[in-house]
Amino acid sequence: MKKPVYLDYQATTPTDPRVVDYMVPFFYEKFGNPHSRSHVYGWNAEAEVEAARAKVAAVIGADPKEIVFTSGATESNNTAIKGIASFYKDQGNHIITVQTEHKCVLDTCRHLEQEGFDVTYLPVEANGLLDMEKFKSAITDKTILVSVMAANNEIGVLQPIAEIGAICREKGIKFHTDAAQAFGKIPLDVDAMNIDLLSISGHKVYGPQGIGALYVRRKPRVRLNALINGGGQERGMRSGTLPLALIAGFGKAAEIAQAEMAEEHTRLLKLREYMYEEITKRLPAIILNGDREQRLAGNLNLSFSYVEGESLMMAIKELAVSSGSACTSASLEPSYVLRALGVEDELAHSSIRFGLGRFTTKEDVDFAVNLLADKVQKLREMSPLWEMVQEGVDLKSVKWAAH
Amino acid sequence: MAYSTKVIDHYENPRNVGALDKNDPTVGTGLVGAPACGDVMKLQIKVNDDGVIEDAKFKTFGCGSAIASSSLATELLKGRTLDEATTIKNSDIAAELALPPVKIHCSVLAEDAIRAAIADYQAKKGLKASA
Amino acid sequence: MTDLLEVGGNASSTHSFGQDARMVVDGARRQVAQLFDVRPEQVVFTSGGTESNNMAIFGALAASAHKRIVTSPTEHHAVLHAATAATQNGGRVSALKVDRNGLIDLTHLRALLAEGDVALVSVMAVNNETGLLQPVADIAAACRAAGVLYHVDAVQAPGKIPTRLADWGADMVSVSFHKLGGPKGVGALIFRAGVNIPAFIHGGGQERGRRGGTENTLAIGGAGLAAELAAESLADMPRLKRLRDTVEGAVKRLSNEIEIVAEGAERAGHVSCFILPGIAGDSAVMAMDMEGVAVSSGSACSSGRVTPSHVLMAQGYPEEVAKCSLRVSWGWNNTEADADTFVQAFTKVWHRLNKENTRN
Repeated sequence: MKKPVYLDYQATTPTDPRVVDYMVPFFYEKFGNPHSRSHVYGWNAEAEVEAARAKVAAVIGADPKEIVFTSGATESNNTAIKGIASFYKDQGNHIITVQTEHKCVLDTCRHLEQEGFDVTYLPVEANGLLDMEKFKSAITDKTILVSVMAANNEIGVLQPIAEIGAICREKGIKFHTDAAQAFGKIPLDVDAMNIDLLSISGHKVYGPQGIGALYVRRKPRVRLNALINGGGQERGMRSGTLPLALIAGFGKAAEIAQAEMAEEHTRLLKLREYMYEEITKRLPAIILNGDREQRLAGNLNLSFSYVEGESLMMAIKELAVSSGSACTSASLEPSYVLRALGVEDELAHSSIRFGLGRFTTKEDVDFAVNLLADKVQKLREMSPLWEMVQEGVDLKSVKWAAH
Repeated sequence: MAYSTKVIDHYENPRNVGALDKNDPTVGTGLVGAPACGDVMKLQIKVNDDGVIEDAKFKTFGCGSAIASSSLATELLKGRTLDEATTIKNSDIAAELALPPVKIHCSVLAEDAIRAAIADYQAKKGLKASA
Repeated sequence: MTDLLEVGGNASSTHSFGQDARMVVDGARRQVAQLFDVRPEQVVFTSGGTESNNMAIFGALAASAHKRIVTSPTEHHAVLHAATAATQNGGRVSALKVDRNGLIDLTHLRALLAEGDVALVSVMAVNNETGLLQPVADIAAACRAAGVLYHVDAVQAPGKIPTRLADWGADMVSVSFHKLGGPKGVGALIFRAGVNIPAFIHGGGQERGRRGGTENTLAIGGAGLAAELAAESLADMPRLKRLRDTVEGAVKRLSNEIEIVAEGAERAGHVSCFILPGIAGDSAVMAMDMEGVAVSSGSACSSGRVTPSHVLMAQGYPEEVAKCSLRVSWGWNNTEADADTFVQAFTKVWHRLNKENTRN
């Protein structure tokens, strides 16, 4: 069977072959425990870990000492949010986050609510962006932590991180951002943006799965209670043997992402805009979810009105895409992110996330556009809703028998 | 979740997609489901003077199983009398298509659509729905 | 495993790339389940042994009305520090008495359990520094009788001793795969059927809601293979034990001052912990390194710091002695030639350091 065209770069990115090549020796001759400081295997391993740390730090303008390796962005988010909440709980018990955050941030916050913290889940506007006035008015003198993602995994919108950071710094509130989708894709500078903690994922930036990082600011110093306790690695903030090969690959991936970021951004933006223009040229009643300007170059999230999502997914099996977010697509719940934007359930059901990335070509996009135009048209011809709309019926005026 | 080959066949080659004139007195139209629930079925039957369904058409907004269920329903309806049509059960459709448990509701919806179409036809004829 | 670098895909995605990743993860889960003779759904993948230990400890406390953890003082830091952190808000940790070999005192354990306020007992299967085997089945029986959860840090066990969960009787078992030739960055927590604790890392709903985070497909695939290879390692254990015994014999012939920790107790066959009186462990490690032999002192994870082994200190060795340990472990890739090399190198190092010692 021919492999489908991969357009799901927000779920995960294929490991860059340059990263793979770089990693392979670490499984064979370059093994060693970077914590064994008394023999040469250990020294070489430690040197590689520190080199990778520097490469990751450079992407966000951080000092290498501020990078803590973790098993991935989920662990980073758990560590940052629980760690800050528990360390600073004497200063207040209020946390602000956003309804469209990644599930792991929301789940972690819900867990903290059970432990007695107050969490404000800010709504977003119809374009998916935070209203700064609503944000400001949510702050109280009990607020100890703000967690707002840099780029959304479903709709790709970029939140005003720098503005949020400035306000948090001024008020002495710790600011965490989940940058799993943004790292290596858009310029990030922890100092200019006043970011105190920042979560990174290896496999979203063409590195391996199972590795990530948490940036923790040193000046002014941000402290946290560790989530994973043990041998005291990573300056006590994250215990556990460091996975050398994964870290080496992650470092290489960060280096490549930084070197190619500007060029790749331009290329992807052009490709995405082309895709959007072509689809809307050929199909009426297509809705773009999320702001068109303030969004990741490689993300396009569209609702195909009057077509049901699952049958659309079946019709475009030759494309590897996601409906809803990857982590929840095993269930048929409409995406909570789209709901937060006020997208109606039936449109949410028919939404598809197209994730474009480093290995996406114009041919891939043309193939996708042709397939979509053909299949959506066929499904609409089969859709009683489309027929009613063509006849001028206002679907909202129909009294549907819910079942 | 894997669909049976029969579901995939009906999904890829749906039978009897289309519309009949809903103002025709010999046509009964059933519209069931709701967009917010993810399925809407429109099923139409054309009944001749002998009370036999001589044509059936459908349009469905829904998943592959919903499309397959309504497509199969139109096949089952053609050539049956109205009385015979009322005996079609969702379990027949589910069994024929080997629907997984989470998709049984699609066959229920198809049965609802059949009943709604028959009721619409009988209402037009001034008949009471068969008691 | 490097082939798996080519498997892209997020194992939670429904398209074929995701399903390829899902197949790798499911296959590995079956392989790991087989190692413990449990069903695949009893296996939860984590980022490593440390996370598994933290998950078990924090989870057991969250699931219990009690706030007390009983553990042995010779546990890995991942257990000891997690226990401390988990009980910092009102709970407490009680240390079991251990003898000179590190063996826990079962009578003491039963007495602590009888106090009725214990949430969890955590005692490892195989000590990482000395190879000592704890009486896991006896501990499990005592815990079961008291209705208390029993967690086993079994990071050192697979491939070294049989690991059938039913024989152990434990409720939760931590595994790390790089200790059995697998990749780093992956571990697992094995649950006895019916044992349930809240999630430790929240989000995403992966691992049936028990551990959030995109599955580490590559490393998990490697973990599956490593689990399968553990059976071969177990078969290789008599050979390693012979290598070890040869080396221990040679070392003891060198000087009767050298002690082998837990020599008279039941030990896994792959490791020796020598005490070299008057010679700091890290100097011995350096000297051996110059001879081309990689060994370690104390526990590898803390050897970045020059601290005495907490394991040996718990066993009653004085601090200055606990700084003088040398850990030698043997793996599948070691041969008799390596054993000879070790003995030759060690003989030189011992004579040199011993001479320096007497000069000082």
